[in-house]
Amino acid sequence: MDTATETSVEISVKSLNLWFGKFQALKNINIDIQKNQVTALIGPSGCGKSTFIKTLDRMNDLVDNVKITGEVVYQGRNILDSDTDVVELRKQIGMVFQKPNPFPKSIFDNVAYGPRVHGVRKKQNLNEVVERSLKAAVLWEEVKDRLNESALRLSGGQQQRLCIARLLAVEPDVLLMDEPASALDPIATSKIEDLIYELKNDYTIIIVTHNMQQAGRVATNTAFFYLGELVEYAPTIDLFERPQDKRTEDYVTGKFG
Amino acid sequence: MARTRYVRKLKELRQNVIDMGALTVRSVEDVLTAFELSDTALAERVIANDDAINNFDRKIEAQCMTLLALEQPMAKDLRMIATSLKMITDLERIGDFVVDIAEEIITMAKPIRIPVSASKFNELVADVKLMVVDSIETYASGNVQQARSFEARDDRIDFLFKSIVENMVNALAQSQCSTETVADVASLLFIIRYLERIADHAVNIGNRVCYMEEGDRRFLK
Amino acid sequence: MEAKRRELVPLALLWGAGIATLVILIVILAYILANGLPVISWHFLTGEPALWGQTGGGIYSTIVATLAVTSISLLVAAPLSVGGAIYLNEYTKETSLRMVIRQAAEILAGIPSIIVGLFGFLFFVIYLAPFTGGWSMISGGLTLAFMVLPISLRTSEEALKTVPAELREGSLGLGATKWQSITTVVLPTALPGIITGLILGVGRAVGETAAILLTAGGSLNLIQSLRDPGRPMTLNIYNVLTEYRDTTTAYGTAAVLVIAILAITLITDLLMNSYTKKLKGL
Repeated sequence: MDTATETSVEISVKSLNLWFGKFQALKNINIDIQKNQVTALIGPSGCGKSTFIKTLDRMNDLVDNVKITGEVVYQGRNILDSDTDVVELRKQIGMVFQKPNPFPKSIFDNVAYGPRVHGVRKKQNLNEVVERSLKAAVLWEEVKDRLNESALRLSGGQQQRLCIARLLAVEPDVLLMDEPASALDPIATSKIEDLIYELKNDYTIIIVTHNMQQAGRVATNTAFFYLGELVEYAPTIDLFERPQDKRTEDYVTGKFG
Repeated sequence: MARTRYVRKLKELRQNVIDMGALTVRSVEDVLTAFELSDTALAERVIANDDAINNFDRKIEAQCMTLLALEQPMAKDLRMIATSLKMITDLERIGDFVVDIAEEIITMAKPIRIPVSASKFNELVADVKLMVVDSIETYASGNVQQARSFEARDDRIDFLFKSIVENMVNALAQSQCSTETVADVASLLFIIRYLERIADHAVNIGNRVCYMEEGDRRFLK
Repeated sequence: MEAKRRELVPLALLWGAGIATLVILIVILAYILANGLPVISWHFLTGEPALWGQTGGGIYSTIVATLAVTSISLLVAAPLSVGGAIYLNEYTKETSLRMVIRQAAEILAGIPSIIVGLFGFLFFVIYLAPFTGGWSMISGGLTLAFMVLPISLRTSEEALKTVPAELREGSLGLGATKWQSITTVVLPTALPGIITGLILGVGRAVGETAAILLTAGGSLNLIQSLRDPGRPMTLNIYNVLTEYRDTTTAYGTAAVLVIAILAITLITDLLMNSYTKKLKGL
């Protein structure tokens, strides 16, 4: 199913299957993720959407007993190949997690973390990166006078934007977001959503969300996952207004089960 | 089935729209009967009944707004609510035209005479009445095929309307009529104009049913 | 009301248990300090020990010996236990090997110290004599390391486990290598727990007697090198009591030991509290 709004393809997934032990968590997933668009992944808990985005930056490598087949083509290469430089890949495809996870360090050190582990040492350069990233994450104004304070003193919403800034500092192409606003209140959520909408000009964004209204607000295309299958992938408005598959219809209208 | 309370509210909404439709159909039928029988009393009753239609309109609109605000309807539910919200306006307008027709009937000399070919006139009346009935029926049944036939049926009604108007203008031009007769012919012109507009609203309803059932947005473009 | 009354009995019992613990601690401390503090003087801390066969004298050489064996044990056990904990927690999957290593550490922690001492005696004092110098600070320190190791391994592992997985994922997600993630995020976050574990180990090393008895020698002479035999404070208490019934020196040494352990505990607590606060941004 490939009726989603076309621009150019950033990531092309072909016949992706994934097993945790004997349990098949992803079944023959085929999807083209569009460049500089927000793609939302929706579906009930355990449908495989989080597993899917973790596959895109090889985070499933951290889990025991995983078997993956198929292809994830990014920049002309199958990133599932065993010779992929995972560290390099994760610089290009970054992940924002459900719970804000700032390091127990200062705001500055959080944002400078990525550049530092990649070898940037000059204070001048770090200052620039930190300012630029915090500005891009629309956090600069709120924290510019207290960059040396612990990141843990920020509010939940600020922490999440800090995590996004921290990611932007390593200059990725693709941002993966695993329910980035699910732990936040509505105002913090709308700030994150505005930010996501802004960021799509420069980044390709894939966001997992339980909140269909959120998908509606930020995503160009939406994919519905169910029981490890990609059931339907379409422009968000179509998926919500006139889904083609009965399962999608039942899910978006909340009449599941 | 999850969200049982929500599903029940959707059913209630749909039933209310159908009931409002039935009431509107009844008004259309009554006013045409009053016309046929030159029955002023019936025409007056039809006017009095319009309040019931207007009340339905407000009640259903409130129901739709509540569902939209509280339940975040999606997919077919969303389309059904949007369709209902727009459709009650069509029904309410039809009700208003019925009142207009009834008011014309009351002013006209009795028994009402039609100075042109009665067959075309009767065909127009029958077609409009049936279109209104059918439009409500398609909403209730979701019969998209029937709904799609409305455009063609409306073309026929438009044709009849134009040719009756032409005939009447000719009849007026050729005869030496009293002022009263001219006034009655003018009333007749208004009445068929109202009937033609009623048919347009029935077409709207048909299009909205297509959207409701299949998400077909063509008519919005 | 009935429910409240039923709550009262367990509450009273628990309260009693808590108070009893506190009272026992205070009684012991007060007893030792009351008897030991008057003995402590500048001469007691820095003076030469009494000549053979006499009582009294300073305990300088025993303080140095305690510092020596404790430092050696810590220097050996700290990298091993922290390294082992990192390996277990970060690099191995939850497999049977991990279970076996953890179980082994538990068992090691449970072995009576005299038996560890026996092993130290046979292995370090006898077998490795050319390297350790026989009874010596090295032999004693290495033997103590065996006792410190399991404690600090387990506590370090627990500390590493409390570091949220999100922090590791966050670091890896930024393209940091595993080792970078461990050194820059995981270890700093787990540091308070790890240090606490090491301090527990130090406490154990400072207070150990039986294992030292068999491995460190017992010479009251001030050590000149780590290959010399020496007599740490615990051993001194044992010796002066059993050989001379010199309770004065015993109480004095005990008081020094108790104060040292209290000081170490309190100071690290303080440091770790401020570190944790800084970490949490308070």
